[in-house]
Amino acid sequence: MTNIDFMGKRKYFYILSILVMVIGLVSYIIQGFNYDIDFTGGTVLEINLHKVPSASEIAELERLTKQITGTQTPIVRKIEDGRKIMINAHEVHGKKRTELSKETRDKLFNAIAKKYNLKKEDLISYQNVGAVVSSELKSQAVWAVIIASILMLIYIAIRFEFKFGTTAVIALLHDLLIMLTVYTLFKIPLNSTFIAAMLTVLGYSINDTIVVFDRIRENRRIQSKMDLKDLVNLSMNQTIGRSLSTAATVVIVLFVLYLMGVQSIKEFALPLLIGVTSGTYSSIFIATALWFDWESSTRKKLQTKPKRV
Amino acid sequence: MQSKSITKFLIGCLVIAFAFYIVFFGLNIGTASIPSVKDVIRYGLDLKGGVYIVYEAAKENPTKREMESALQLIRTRLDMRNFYDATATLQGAKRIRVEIPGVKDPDEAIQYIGRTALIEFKGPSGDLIVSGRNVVDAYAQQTPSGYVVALKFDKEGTKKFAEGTRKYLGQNIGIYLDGKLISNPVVRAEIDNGEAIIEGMKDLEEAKTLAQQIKAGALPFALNVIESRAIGPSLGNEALKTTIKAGIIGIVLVFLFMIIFYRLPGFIADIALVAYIVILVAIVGYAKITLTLPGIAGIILSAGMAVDANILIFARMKEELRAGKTLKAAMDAGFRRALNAVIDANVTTIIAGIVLLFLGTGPIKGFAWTLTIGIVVSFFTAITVTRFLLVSIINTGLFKDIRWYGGKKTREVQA
Repeated sequence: MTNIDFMGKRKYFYILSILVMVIGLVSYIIQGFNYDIDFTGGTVLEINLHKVPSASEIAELERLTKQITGTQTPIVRKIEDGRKIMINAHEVHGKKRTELSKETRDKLFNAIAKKYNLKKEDLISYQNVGAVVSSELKSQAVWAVIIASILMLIYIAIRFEFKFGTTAVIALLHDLLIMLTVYTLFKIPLNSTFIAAMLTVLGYSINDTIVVFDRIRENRRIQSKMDLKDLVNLSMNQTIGRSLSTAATVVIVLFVLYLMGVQSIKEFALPLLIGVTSGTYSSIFIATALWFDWESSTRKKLQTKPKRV
Repeated sequence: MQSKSITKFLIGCLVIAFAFYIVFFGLNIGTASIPSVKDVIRYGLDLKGGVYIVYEAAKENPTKREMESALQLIRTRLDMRNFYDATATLQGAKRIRVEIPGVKDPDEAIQYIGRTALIEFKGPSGDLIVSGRNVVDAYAQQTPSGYVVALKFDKEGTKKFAEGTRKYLGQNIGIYLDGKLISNPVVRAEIDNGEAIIEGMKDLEEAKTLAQQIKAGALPFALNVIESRAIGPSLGNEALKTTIKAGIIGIVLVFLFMIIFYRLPGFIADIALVAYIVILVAIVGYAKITLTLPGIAGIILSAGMAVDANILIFARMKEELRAGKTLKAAMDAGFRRALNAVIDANVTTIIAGIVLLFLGTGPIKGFAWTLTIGIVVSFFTAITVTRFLLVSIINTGLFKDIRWYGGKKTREVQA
């Protein structure tokens, strides 16, 4: 069995996590999120160009989109093998953003089709999303996270104890913040798939944390006289192999999906990869460490209390 | 004892292999037949291509009955256009989601279904006399004086229309579709029997179109298109192929991982994983759960998580073996002591899945379904199938060396 003093090094991991989150916050303030059409409303066109466009060609396509649709900041990006592109655009009516009308859409596609000599079926797909749907999606996502977190907290509080539940949920929110950091930092489009990924990570991350907590719960019964720090370290050393094994099997699957998948699957696999990695890290270094600090501070309080005779 | 255990183990494997064959290839014995999952599975639009449109009622709180009549109307129209594969479902309190496979252009489809427009009858000064909600029926007719559209109002409409025609005798009553004037007949007589005729149609075609428009307006409210997506059939096909390929590669890698790290128990877990995939695919296929792209991801992901329960158990078992227990005792202890963690870990993931099921829409719902079912099934197979096979193989007495169970040095352990 490995013998690592996890608890002795917990401060470094607190600092690391806080650092990443601060970077995320700064990035969010500076450049915000790259909300995809699911969140902003508008139209997404997927076009098969049959060739990989150069950076200047992408810029040219963006100019063209801006000119035809009036979108202030249209987004054109390469997808899959690079031969296909996705165009994100909308029309502005007064203060409202709307999807492209059929005329505008046809105009845009025809202009691109002429340039690249495309056929009608090279417009692989397009999606129109209204602003109502988008704003609902955002609030749905937030609610889903809140409700799921509360339910998990209640479940763990019943099966374990309140402190375990709270620290597990804090570790969860930590993972979500890390995911969001990666999203704002690398300007990855945020869309409805992200919501599904986020909740999956919630499920996975807590799953991982519980295995460690379960060991602490059990060791506490068996070795009731052991020093708390040693007990936690023992539990972590006992479970680390399993944590890494599980993370490995899930990461293997996700990695293959990411490498081979079509665009919508890639968009799903990426946040999961980040989340699963963060979830494994946080269950080892954040959830358990936080629980340890909390538990030892309450124990100290109990010990320093003057005993009544 | 030994040969009996071998038989048990082989029968277990055969049952799984047989189930695998039936699910993926179907079965025909005489008149009885089980279709293969390929033939019955219901693919989402993202996998077969098509169009989906979400309509929303332009009314604050439509009643359930109003929504259902709107839904019925849309269904009738889909049938009228021979979109027999299309589905229309209520989504939430005021939305209708229409899915039409195989159609490329949502605009075309929206035209086909027809904008479910609001019909209004207004007086010369623009005051509302009666709206489409009071129209029971509208149909084209040929009369000696030419083509007409005959209207039938309900009780309330009859009364209102009688009042209107009395008031505007000799004047025009405009018929508006979505605020646009489509006909402006002159009132010749007071109409109090709830049956009106609009004259002056050029031909039967025009009369039919107008009748249809008015019938569409027989809704208590207008429906707005708030979301529409079109997925090309080639994209869907490609997506399905690559995702399944990726899934197979991913799962094969997990297979190898389990055998390398957990040896014999890992191999048993792999057989249990096959059982898991068979059961899950069978449920999704035969229970007609719509399989979407994220849904496949959910299956593959829960397969990755499915081995987790086994990993927990085997890790425990390894510890017990190191502590010097016999194989059987180590296995029992492994299952018993890992059970708490397995239950707790699975329940929390199911909580996330169920929340997603209630709050998610469309493809996300597909993902939530496969994930939730996947976790329940994986819990079942990890506990029962793995255990049954492991007990049988240990009882054969063929695998006594601790190295079969991931130990480092050769050492015999007692069964």
